[in-house]
Amino acid sequence: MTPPPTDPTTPAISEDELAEHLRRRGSGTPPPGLAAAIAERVAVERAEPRWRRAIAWKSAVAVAAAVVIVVGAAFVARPTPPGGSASPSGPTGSGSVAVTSPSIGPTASSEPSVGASPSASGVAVSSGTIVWGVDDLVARLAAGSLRTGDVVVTDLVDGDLSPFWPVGVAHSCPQLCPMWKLGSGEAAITIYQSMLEPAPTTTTGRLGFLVDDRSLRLLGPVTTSSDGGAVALTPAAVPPGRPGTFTAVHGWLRDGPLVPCPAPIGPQASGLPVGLDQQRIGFRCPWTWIQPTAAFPGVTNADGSGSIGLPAGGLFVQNGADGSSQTAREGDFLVRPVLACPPGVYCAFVPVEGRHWDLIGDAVGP
Amino acid sequence: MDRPLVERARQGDREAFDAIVRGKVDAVYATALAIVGHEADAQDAVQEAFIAAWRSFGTLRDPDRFEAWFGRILVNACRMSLRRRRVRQIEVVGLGGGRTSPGGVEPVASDGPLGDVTASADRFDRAFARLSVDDRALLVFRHRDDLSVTDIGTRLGIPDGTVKSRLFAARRALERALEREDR
Repeated sequence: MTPPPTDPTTPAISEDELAEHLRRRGSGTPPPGLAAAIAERVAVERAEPRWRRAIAWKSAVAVAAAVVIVVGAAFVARPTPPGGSASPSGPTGSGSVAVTSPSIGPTASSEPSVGASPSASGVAVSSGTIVWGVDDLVARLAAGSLRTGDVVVTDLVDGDLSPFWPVGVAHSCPQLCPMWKLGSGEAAITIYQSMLEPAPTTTTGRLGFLVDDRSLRLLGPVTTSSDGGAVALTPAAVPPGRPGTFTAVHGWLRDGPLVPCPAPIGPQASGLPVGLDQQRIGFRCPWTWIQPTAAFPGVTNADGSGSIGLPAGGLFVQNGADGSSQTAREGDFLVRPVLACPPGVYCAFVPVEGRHWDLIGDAVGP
Repeated sequence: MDRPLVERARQGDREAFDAIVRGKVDAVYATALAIVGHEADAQDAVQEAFIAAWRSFGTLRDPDRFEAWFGRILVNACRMSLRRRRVRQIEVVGLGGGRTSPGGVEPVASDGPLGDVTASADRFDRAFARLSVDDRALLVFRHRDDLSVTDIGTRLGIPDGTVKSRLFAARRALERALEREDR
């Protein structure tokens, strides 16, 4: 398909076209429950007094100043290494502080790695159990020591979750969502399920959750290795994925190298598979993979039109998945298979079962 | 916006605030949707904007400036909503050219009028997604909501001259993004 010639003196879009596109983009109506959901949140929110914000601001400044002082003192007091200089010299001369990314541990690959448990061989190995005990999970989440966006896995039995309504609404669930409490008393935490996702088939067993502030969002059943660790990827096999379930895998996440990409053909695609919250996701050069090893297999595409091979045993995940870069990162990741486009949606992209995966996030162990 | 209603809400009257929400939610959602381009993100941004407004109503000194004040909150909420998004919306094109395509991606042709319309919308949306949230908000306020340069300036907290230059820059950025889509 030949792109239309462009005249540099002619705008690529007229005022009318621009207005029309923007009206189209904003032509949706909010879900019926949105105003009610906001009202419910307001009911439990308290307008923050100005004095409290001022104190919070001053506290933040004080903490930042303290950190600067401590770091500065540590830098000044750093012992001189044998045969070396105590103060690294940067481009601006002595006294400047050079900040570099640490490379933790040796790897067989020439690529630097930053990961929880780098292996000497560059081959991914399981880094221990990722399954939390319920009490430990509740305590850690209540203490605010888990990051929003982390994924956690725990085993639940009947009775662990107690449903409650009306909504406690201390989260940013876009619609009214089923909610439960896990734990009791002061340590109880809220678990909710997004209305934008299909309902999990169960609320017991080994389940995955997305950390959302100090709440947990229920994702669904998770497959792990038999010892509760993430399934280590191997070049020999790709873990089977089942609809509605998640798999914790251990491997190396990275974006593909900068090689010429296969040429696009035909009209632009208008349908995409969806990830979490019905967010459209794409699979396109430069690709993003979770691989069994840190080293990238030989990739060639000299003429820009050929194919790029999927690393053996690797999982092809959505472009620019959170935390991916051109530097391989070892870790435990929660993934689920991308199986099909939503019903009734024109889909120009047909995912292939077992080849395309939706990376949900880093699986954080206890 | 009804000044007495805003004044009551500013004093902590929840019913007054609920009335403001009910009266504005459709328009606010439409603006957010035009900026972020995705329903879930727009819902999230609208919720967070209203909650942030409720929490910080004390910072609104002049009830007559509610629209401008809330506009800034909404743009920030849109920015945060997109930042929170865990899976980036990115472009995709058909692949393969009759050869084995990476990962087994199978393109499907979109012939016919429906395909043309959809392709045009997708082209614009992909290009628009390349813009910063501030640029998107500028274009939406100006070309969708028909706000004056002065009104845009008060919503974004910038002088009129800056609005004009940034509008021009945003328009050029959009045109460049559209040209990239045509390559």
